[in-house]
Amino acid sequence: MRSVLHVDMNAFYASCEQSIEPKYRARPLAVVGNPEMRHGVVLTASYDARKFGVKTGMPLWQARKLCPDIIFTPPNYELYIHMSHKIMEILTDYSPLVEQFSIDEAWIDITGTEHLWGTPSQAAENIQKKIDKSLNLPCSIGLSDNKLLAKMASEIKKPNGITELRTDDIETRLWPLPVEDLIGVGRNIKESLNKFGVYTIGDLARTPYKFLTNMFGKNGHYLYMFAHGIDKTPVRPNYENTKSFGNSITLPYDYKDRDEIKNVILFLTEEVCSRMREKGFRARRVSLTLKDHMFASQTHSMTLQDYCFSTEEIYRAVMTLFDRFWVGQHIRLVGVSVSKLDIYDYATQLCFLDNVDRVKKENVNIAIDKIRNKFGMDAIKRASLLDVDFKYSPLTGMKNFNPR
Amino acid sequence: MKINVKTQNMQNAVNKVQKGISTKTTLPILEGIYIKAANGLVTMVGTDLDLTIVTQIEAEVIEEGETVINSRIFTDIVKTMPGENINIEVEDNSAVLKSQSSVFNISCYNPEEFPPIPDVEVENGIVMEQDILNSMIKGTIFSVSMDMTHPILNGSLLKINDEKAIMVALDGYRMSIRRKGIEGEGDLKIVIPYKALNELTRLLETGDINISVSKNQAVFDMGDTLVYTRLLEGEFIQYENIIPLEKSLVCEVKTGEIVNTLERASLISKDRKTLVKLTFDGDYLKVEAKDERGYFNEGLDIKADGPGLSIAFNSMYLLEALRAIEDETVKMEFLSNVSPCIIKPVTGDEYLYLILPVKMKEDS
Repeated sequence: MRSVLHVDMNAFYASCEQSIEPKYRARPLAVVGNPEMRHGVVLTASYDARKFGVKTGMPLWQARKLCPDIIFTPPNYELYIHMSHKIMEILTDYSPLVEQFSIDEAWIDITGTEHLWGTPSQAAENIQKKIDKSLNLPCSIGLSDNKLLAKMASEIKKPNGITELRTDDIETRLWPLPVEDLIGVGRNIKESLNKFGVYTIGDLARTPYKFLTNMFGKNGHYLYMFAHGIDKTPVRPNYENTKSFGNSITLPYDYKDRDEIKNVILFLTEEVCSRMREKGFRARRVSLTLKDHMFASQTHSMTLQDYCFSTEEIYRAVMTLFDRFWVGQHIRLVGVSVSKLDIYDYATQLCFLDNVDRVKKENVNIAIDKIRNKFGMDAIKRASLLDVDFKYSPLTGMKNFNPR
Repeated sequence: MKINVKTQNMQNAVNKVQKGISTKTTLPILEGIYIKAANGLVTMVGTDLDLTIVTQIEAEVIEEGETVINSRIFTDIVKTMPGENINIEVEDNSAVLKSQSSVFNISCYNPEEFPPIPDVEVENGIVMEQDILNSMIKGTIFSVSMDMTHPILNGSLLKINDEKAIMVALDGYRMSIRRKGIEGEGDLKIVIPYKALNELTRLLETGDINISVSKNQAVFDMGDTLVYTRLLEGEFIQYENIIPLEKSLVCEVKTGEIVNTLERASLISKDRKTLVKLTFDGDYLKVEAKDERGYFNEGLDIKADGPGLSIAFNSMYLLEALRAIEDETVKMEFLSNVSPCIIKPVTGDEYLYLILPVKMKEDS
């Protein structure tokens, strides 16, 4: 039997604000869309605000009416992404099998880690404490033998809950719940099911399989399986789905000098490549995005002859694109990305065009990455970038997650 | 314009010029085939500005004139016309195409907007046999680099002097060289872009070809058909320096046998790039391939002279070179597991293929 945890952060945005701002702690707080605008809504309310009935999606005036002492604060997505990254770092200390599902939730498969962290519930407790201690953030953890039930379990007790829900418990604990509490049941499906007298998850489980697949097609299959607590999907680390790495910088002012832009490109390429290497990839396709002062954006890509691993090779390709397509316009944003990834397996096709041995170059890159991992990004720099300093956007890839 | 032409002739002509037309163009007129009727001949032109293909066919010209018709629709029409002859009549902006009782009425472009055929001020030129050029191109074209970071390598070098022709293509990981003696005077040194090479292999037949060159243009004249191409500018890589002078292991291998073995090895492949490991041990060569899905090995009897060696390659690079060789037996030379492999004829120097190995972690 597997042991899968679902870690769900409680009131994530509000908790992040409280984590870095002590005066917000234990007070009714709401992260809101736009406090100045009258039509702003509550994005996340802290548990102290929820006591008064403040909910996500509520207009501000209504929240204020329910809870006159409520504090409104605008969202700081960079902070949330940063915190999210830290949480994932903590989770990967417990098991390599971590699958992030959104900015504030993830599954972690801890099967076979008993000798390290004790029983699954001890491990869950351990993780919850660790996140609270190092980041000052509360979370609820669901524990089960598959992803579906783990996620259902984490919903049961909030905040700061640890709930175990095993397949054996579903008749007593899952089936009495209303059908809309099941993952995959939205409003439309709920209404259709209600029409046929299906109100609880138990009702759904007792509905014939054929009936469900006739009515909902492939979804019907999953509804039936889920109602029986069956979910065979593995916890799949996110890098397995990685298709590309990229980053971009909006420049402090419009750049019009080739050398200046060149440095930005090198800076970005370095960051993108080191992230790519960290995850064990090499890439065959590079893309460059340029946005000019009129906000006209263009992206150009090219496929390379062979998979590339070193910053130098990728940089040379990006510069080829730049020199081909830059016609002197003033640049406001530069973006670099790599795709067509392949696992780096230390087999390097030798090349006679380079002055420096390709293998040596790759080893230099690996060495630089090691130094940076240990001593930080600034510990070793390219001479041409000595005077260049931009703020690294923390984890650009996370922007794909929908801020709820 | 009014012409009457044999359907078969028209189909052949369309097939020739149509390849010169780029499918991705911002100029609509370039999607068209230029047709001109004069002096009992119909001239057809397709161009993407870098490459222009011109061909002539005999026809009954009833009324002289010119037009441009969209290449896709024109090709499809010509392909499916029922009769032996096609009658084309153009008036203003529309063409009427008739064959037996089939009639198409389609619109045309203004021929004056069509780019003129490049004016090549011939500086020098040579004559050679079409099939010789064709075999040289086919024997090297697969090594042309597709990587834009080295534009000069996106074509093959053709060098002719002292009645010797040599063609070289290289992409950094391998190099292909073809040599051939030719008759006639003149010398030449040009780098022909990939697209022109590719079209030439399709168009070359038998008989002579006249190659004329100006600064950055070349014309390949095959009589009825002419190919104009822009040439790649810049200095080609000093390819002679890449060929190693030393060797430690020399062996003779049956070309067909090793090709079959490598093809089998390629079945264990990922992304068309199979890593094959060759282990030479006396007169025995072991070929291995391995990935997550499985393992392959096969032994070959060879004639070898030199110490044992274990070396890895991208199997596609070996295969493309070996497949281009017609000789029954080839000579392969090695120095070490991080130096290139040289494939050449047992006697003579008609071809030379150089392939760099893949360095594995266990090698270092």
